[in-house]
Amino acid sequence: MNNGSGALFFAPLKKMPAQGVAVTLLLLAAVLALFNGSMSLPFQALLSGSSDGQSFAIEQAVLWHIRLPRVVLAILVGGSLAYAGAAIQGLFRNPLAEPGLIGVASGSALAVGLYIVFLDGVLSGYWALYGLNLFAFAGGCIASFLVLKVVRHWAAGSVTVLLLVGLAFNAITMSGNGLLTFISDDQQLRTMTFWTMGSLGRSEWGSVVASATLMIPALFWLRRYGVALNLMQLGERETEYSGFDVRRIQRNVIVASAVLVGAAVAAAGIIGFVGLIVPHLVRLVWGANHRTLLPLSFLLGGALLVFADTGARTLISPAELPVGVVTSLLGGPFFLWLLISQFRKNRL
Amino acid sequence: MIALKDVGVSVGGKDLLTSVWAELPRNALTAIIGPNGAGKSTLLNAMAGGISPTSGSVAFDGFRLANMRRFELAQRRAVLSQNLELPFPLKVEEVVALGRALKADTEVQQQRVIAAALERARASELAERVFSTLSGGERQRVHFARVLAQLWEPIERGEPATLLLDEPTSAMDMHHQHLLLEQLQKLARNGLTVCCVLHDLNLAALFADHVWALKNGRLHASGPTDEVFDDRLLSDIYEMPLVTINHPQRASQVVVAYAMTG
Repeated sequence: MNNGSGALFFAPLKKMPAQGVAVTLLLLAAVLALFNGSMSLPFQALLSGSSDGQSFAIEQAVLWHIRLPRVVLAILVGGSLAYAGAAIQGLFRNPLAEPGLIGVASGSALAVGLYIVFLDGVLSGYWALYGLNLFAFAGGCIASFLVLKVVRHWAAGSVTVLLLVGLAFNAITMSGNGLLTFISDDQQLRTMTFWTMGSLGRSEWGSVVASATLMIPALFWLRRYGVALNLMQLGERETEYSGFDVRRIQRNVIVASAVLVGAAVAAAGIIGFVGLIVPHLVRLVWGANHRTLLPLSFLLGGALLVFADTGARTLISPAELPVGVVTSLLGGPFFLWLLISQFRKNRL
Repeated sequence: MIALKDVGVSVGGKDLLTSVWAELPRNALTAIIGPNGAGKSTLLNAMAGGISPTSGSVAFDGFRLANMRRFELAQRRAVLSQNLELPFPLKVEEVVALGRALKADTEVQQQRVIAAALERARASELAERVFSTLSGGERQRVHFARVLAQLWEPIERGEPATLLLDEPTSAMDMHHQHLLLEQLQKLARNGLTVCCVLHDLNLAALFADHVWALKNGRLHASGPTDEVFDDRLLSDIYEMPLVTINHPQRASQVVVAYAMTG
């Protein structure tokens, strides 16, 4: 099962305590992100608080109101995507499953498109703050349930069919978003492009709070399914024989994943491949037990997105790349490698 | 105890089981035998509750199986299916730990049960290995340890419980086949009701207390092993000439085939 070179490369890491490594990586990424950017921050001065007047106030504002919320949001979004990815791969017993591939992400994106074109600016107060998240969440839920229903009903749960149906749903929602771009005005069009490319550029404490209040309960809720997801590795029938309700597990894991992915899409648009890559890296190094896989995926998913976002901000500074472009650039080749190694394994 | 009343299962218009009436004998090892496609696995799954019969009903301890709660059932019966593969790399101890999924064990308790179950299944040396790197026979030993872990409390206390196994020895070498069946026999003596699909008639002859012989979805014969192991009956079920001879060392039979064109 261990893909030769990968196992060798990660061997030294296996001996270290997993949580320690993951937390260290996340902190490293966060520090790197806080003090890198189009404006250089003298971080010694900022920490000690001894600097002179006006520029200090600006530097402090950049740190506290621009960089820090962005880093926190990147951790939440990257962590949630990886967490949902790990859970969905476990649920469908398939290493190629990903929130993006089974319709959750594209369903969220279509709902976000609908919201932007028809509701943005119409709502106010809490509805304005949470409306987008709720829409994204509902879109993700509906899409993934439709996919699951179709597969359960007509293909007896075949995973290949699941991925193909997910693909079909992606095409449908994409054309839906395409239609929306036709009837949208300039401002709406720009906002929608922003969502489909994926970016953390609009981070502020408000969106951090809105995301966190949805994501954190979903993370804890999903965490309770670690044992059930381990059991699901034996298959649906064995899970029932072991005393668990498979349909309930499927439903709850999908709802929790849809909350996570929906909130992530609402906050930062579509960011591909984080949910696919990170759980695989964790499994490669620390094994597939979902009780450790889920929290480790969160930590490393957060670290990966913080790194990727720092790259997106600084590579062509002062301009910015959409972070979705960066993660897809990393994730595309990784997905190909995964496909090829799966293919090789199955041919043996 | 499991009782089948006029159980029929059909899938897509094809009858896999037809009108099976039977009661699984308590505290005994019952072997289900029969040719390919006779309905052995279907019968086992119907008894386990994984397939709901299209006609008739299955009762577990006097209650309709269909009305029982999964988690209550899982405390009192475990099922070992065929060819269980894992898509992701779990370690052997993690696979055995799946048998404890319902239990609120402390870490120490769980480790104790896992170690003891692995030992009973003769798989202790595999504990640290990754499941997907094991051979077929080793995997079967690990899954056996998993179902033992699931029923650990009733096994330790000698309380009634039911263990259903679908060809648990098909990939094992002869030595491990015998070790596993000896374990099953011992479990049956200590209060468990064990039912096991077996292809190897000589294993069934040596270890089973009772035999259910299936053919074309019907329960062709059932009863104590030496009654079912009759030359004409076996030849009829497998549609080939078979004779039984006495085992030179034990009070049981050995099934011998001879050439169909000779």
